[in-house]
Amino acid sequence: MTDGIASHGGYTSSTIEKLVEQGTVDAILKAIRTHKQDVVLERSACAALWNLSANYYIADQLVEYNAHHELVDMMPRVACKDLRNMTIAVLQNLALGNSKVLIEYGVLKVVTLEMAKNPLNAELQLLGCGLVANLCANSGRETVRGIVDQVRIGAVAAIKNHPTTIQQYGNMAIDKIAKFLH
Amino acid sequence: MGDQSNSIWNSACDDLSYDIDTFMTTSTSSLDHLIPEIQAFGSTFHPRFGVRNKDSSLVNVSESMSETQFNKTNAILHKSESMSSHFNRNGCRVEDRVKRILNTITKYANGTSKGTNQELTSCVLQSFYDIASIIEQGSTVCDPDILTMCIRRFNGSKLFLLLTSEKKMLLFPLIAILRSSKLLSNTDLLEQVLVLLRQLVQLHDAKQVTERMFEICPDVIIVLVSRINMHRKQVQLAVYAVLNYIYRSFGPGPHTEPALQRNQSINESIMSGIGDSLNASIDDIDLMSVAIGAMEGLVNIMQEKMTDIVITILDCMKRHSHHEIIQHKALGVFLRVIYNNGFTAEVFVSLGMVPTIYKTMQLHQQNEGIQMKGCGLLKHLAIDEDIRRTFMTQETVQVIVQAMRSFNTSCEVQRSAIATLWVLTSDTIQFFAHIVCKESLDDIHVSVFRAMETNLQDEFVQKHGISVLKHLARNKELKSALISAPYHILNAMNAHQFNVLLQSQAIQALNIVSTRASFKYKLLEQGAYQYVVGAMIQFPQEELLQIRGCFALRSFMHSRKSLRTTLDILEQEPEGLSGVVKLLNATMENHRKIKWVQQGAICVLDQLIRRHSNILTVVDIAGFSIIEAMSTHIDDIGLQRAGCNLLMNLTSNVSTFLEAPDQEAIAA
Repeated sequence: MTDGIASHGGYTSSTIEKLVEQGTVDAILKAIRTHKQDVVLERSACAALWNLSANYYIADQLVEYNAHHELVDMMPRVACKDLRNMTIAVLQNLALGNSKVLIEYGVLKVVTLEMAKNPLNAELQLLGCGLVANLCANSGRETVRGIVDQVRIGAVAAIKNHPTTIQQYGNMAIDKIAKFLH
Repeated sequence: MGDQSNSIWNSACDDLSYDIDTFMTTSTSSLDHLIPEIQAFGSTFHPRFGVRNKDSSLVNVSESMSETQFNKTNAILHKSESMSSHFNRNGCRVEDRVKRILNTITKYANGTSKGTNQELTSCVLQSFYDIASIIEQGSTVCDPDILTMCIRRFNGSKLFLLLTSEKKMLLFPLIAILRSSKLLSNTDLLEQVLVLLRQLVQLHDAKQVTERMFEICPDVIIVLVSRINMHRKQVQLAVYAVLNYIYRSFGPGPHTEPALQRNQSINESIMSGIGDSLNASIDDIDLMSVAIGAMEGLVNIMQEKMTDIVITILDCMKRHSHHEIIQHKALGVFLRVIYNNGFTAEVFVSLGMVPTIYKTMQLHQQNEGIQMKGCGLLKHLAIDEDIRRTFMTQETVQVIVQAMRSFNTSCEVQRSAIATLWVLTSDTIQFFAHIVCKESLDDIHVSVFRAMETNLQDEFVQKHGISVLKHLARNKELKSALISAPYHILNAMNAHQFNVLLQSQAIQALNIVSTRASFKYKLLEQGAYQYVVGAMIQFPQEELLQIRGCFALRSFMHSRKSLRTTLDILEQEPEGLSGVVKLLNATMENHRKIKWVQQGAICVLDQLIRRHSNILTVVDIAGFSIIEAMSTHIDDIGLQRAGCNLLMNLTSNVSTFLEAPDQEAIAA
């Protein structure tokens, strides 16, 4: 997606953990909060969060630090397509172990709205479907029941406008919801 | 001496001795008959030195004198001296005494008297002292004509040349005469006194003489200058010469300053006196050269506006443009005026000084002083940007470059010229390049290179040379011509490793010069990295140097090729990567509050981790400092951007920069 962003290889996990111990997460979140209008900073910060969130334990810490608040706040605000996509990518990582917190905070609503607003942004649709799938996969039946309509909005947008690969993700999301509903 | 004459002489001595005793004890005796007797006695044996010392040569005059006679004579002389003092106290018979003293001086100055050098000089000095005491007491009996004749004799005599350390003692009588308005209405006398004073200052240690002068008379400068407006060239020449010597040896200080600064009206009258004198003599080259020389010292301590005098001197420069001494001294006066008198460059430029400076620098290309002062003056005129733009032309650069060429081994000229170039090039490069043609720009940097090479040990030349190169490097076209600049800058850094200012400026210059990728590589090859890191280690507390150091290091690593070279250099260093990371960490810790230091260091670290294996070292050593910097300077957007970027790269496992295809190599 962008230069300097990690693939999820889990490499140098000890280095990253050391960085987190030194206060990296707090520093990044403070920077985002203080300079909300600076796209360059937000982009680097978001990329760093994405790299950090690749580590399962650090992802939990990020949620403890309320990183998803900043991401949800950032997503509809930014005009930069890359950055918007990246926020969803980070949320996708965070959703793996913290779907309940994220759903309660309204992440799904915001993401599906973004998907509906940007039907032609293939990458966003792809990431959005992934996020929805992650949220659904790790949530209880009751929770999922409450978000059916939202998932449908997102998934339909993805399926309608995009090629097979994304449709697969959309279908996957719908499948996951269906499992809970049956 | 025969027996009879001995007897008469003995009897006369006894009588005279008795008369003097009576006079001294009762003061009732008539003096009328006593004085001629003593004078007669003194004409045979000089009252002070004639017979007192048995070993002296003068005793030989009276070889036949018996022991008794000798003792008697001595006793009488003692008594006559006591009487003389008595006369002085009571103001009696001063005329006689003055005459006797003047005769004594004349006699000894003529060389008609016998005696050792020491005796003669002591006698003359004592006599002058006596005269001075009489004048100081306000006596009006001193005949100026006789005094003039007496000093004139003395001026040209061998005796004057025999004086050594005693010369200072002459100052007291001379100044006493100078202060006496009545005596100095006689112009001949004034001339003789001043000529003698000038000789004294010239021949003796001028500083000692000047100090003594101020001890005797704190107002000596006022006294001298007040005598200047005389219509006699010799007087004026002498006054200016003495003033010149005073200032040259003494300069401004606790003695001279109160003498001229305490009274504005006196100062104004002095200035007007000098102004009139200069105006009246503007065509007299000898006088003007001496007078302008004296002005150079005088303006040191005068606070008054000197517009009229400056105009006169400028006029004089124009009239005598081929006269080197006048040109040299006039430039000196202008420099002093601009230093000390609050004269603004604007006034100088409005008086049309700049073309005059160009002209004199072109006419006297082989005069070191003129070239040096001309450049210095141009520098002062050019300091203000608005004023600089009113006069700066191609010619300005040409005269300076010419001066540098003519005196490429003269440190003083190089200093002055390079400082001027520094001021001139500080203007926006667009303006500078617009005014000055490409050839002149080339001339400048060639001259600067030469100056830096020739005066490697001179900190001033090196520092200003670096600054000029820095200014020139802002011009994109010229930058390619500055390929040798790093060599000279690094030489300067090597020669002046302990000069923090120079190191700091040199690092900044390297940063500016190294914006071209090809330059970066060349810089690193020449050891720029080691010099910059060395300076940062040498001066850990210098904020500016640390900031410039960090940004220079970042700049060195900014292209892929130079980054690889730097990382390779690092691997060869004893401490390797950890050495530089520790240095950056220490810098960040030392200057926690300085955001530019933090940002610069973060940027360098960001470059270092482009080689993937460096990440762990950076996190281990500097991780905490990075986070601390971001927390401390939360409001600084530049630092936050740099910090987030570094964190992004630190958390990444793909070293995109180094591993991405080398576009430069592909293009090549």
